[in-house]
Amino acid sequence: MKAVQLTGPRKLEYIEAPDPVVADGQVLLKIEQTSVCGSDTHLSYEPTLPEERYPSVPGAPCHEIAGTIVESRNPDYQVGQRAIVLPDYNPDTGPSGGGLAEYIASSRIIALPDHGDLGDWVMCQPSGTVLYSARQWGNASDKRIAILGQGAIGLSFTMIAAAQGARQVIAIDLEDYRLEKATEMGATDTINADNENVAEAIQEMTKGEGVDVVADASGDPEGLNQAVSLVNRFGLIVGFSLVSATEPVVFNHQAWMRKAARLAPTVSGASPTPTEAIEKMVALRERGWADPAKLITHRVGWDGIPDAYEMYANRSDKVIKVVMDINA
Amino acid sequence: MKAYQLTGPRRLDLVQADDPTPEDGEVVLKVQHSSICGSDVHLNYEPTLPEERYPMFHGSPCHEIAGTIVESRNPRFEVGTRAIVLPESAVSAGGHRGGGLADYIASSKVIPLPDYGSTADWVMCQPAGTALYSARRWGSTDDKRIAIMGQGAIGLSFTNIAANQGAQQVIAIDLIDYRLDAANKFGATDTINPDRDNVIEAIEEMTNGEGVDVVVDASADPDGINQAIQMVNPRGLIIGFSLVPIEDQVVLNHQAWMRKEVFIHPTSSGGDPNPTESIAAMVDLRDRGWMDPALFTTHRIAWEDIPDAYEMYSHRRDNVIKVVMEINAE
Repeated sequence: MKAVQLTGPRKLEYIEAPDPVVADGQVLLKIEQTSVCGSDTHLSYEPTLPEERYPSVPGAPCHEIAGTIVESRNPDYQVGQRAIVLPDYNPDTGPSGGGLAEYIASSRIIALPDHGDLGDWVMCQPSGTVLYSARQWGNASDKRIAILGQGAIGLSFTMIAAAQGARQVIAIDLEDYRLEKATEMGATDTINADNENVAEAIQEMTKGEGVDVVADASGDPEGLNQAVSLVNRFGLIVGFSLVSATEPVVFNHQAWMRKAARLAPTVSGASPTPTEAIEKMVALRERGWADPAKLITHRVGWDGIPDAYEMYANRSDKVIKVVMDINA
Repeated sequence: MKAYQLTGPRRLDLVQADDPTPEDGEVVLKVQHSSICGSDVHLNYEPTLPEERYPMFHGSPCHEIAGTIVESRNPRFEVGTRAIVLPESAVSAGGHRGGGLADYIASSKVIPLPDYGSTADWVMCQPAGTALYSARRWGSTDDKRIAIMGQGAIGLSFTNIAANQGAQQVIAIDLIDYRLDAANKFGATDTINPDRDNVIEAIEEMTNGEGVDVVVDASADPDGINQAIQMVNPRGLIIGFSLVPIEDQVVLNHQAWMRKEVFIHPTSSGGDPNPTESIAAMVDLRDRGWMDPALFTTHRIAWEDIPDAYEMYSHRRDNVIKVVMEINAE
């Protein structure tokens, strides 16, 4: 099959690779639409990784993947079914594949409806992982929620908090185009941290009530400390974004203890049922509850994949979410 | 001022009363629109109460009230502001001090309203806000299947809130089909009429055997709590909303409840230390277009027809869900 793989920092190469072998419990997905995630670029594409990490498995780094099942060794899923899959992960050999290839074999499957564009449906993958994290805040209707970072994940938090009827939804970013998108997704207030003192702005916007929850989708090593400084005493911080393992995170321990703020780190992919929240998001999108496809700003073809990763890494051209057409 | 007051079972008398005098911290509201709540009817209007409960305060029983502030002894609220108010409770009299069936009411429990739109519509944020208060007890929603017993205005509010919050499944239950039709309109994913279907079997089928994680009891039925215990999943949650008249005996299936390890959470927004908060939250949500409880209104009633309106509500005539009464023109 044709595939792309990472062979060095910021180096994606087109290759021919063997078709994946389908194990018991897996299906073979013919990939149609995939999408770039911040973790693909910040944790895999951009940094200089240890030598043994290159080349990546064919198709990686890319884990937001939708297509059609063409072979099944899982009795729950039939050939012809459209689906999102998460790559299987083996601690020794890494992911079973990735979205930058014609095919992937996986046992972690989320069935999709027959109608609608797969490029739109694949957005339920990132938003579903956010839905998983958002459960930490419980019921939104009595909470003021601030969200650090308005990339696709932060915007998903904004969308979900607004759809759930949060008391107030305050979107925070350094880029105005992302704050405009946040307003479109339902933010009641926005703050550009470059122009304003965030803590003062929150006090003013909330008439002194402050924020009960801060979600950290900033991808910034300083994000956690900012969240501690912004959240109300006894409040909740929901951690989402991963900081590269090579970056030291210096934690303001005493500020945190004095605030008595709870820290809830969330990684949907590490939960015992990593497909579950994504299934819920698919069902909610079908009901018209929220539409994460609104996050898409760019669509590229097979030949445009390396450019898409560069654009995402550099945040050029007001990018939020890039969908790649693998096999129309 | 003109006022109605309850002078005996099912007897609302029109009287002339003194205008209320506000205490420190209170405002005087000129009442424009009020609405009938199930508790007004089932706990006050219908039953034969102890002699000392009659006559009720001027304007009672009615606690869903919106209008315009005409006098203020509270620095937070200015004359001219439109507002919902909750009557002050009169513990000694076992009811409310004042009510919505009168020209004026004095109260310190004030929820300001936006400048646009009719108070007839905004007043519906009062009952819906109390349901929002209770709905917070179910926590996150997208991972829960929720059944709601009773689809009067309160049950419909729960249905609407659960659907808007993105609950995995919202199952509306009532004995009356027009109420189930309304439930569908307000976001129920499934409906059950227990007159036709076995509720337990229907839930099993609708949920593919997963059952329901939460049951809300908005039935006002003395047996509602036992039905909820039967329906809910083991270790699930029952949220109690509706009040059963004190004269009605409630027999709890204690062992069924214990064996299922079901958590029962009674809720009463009015008894919260801050009873206006969830109603203010619902006003904000209506302002944001998140939900419109005014759509529950089925009848608009003029001042002189108020006694008939209580009769209609009591007998569930004419497909009634929610009745708004015009006390004074806006």
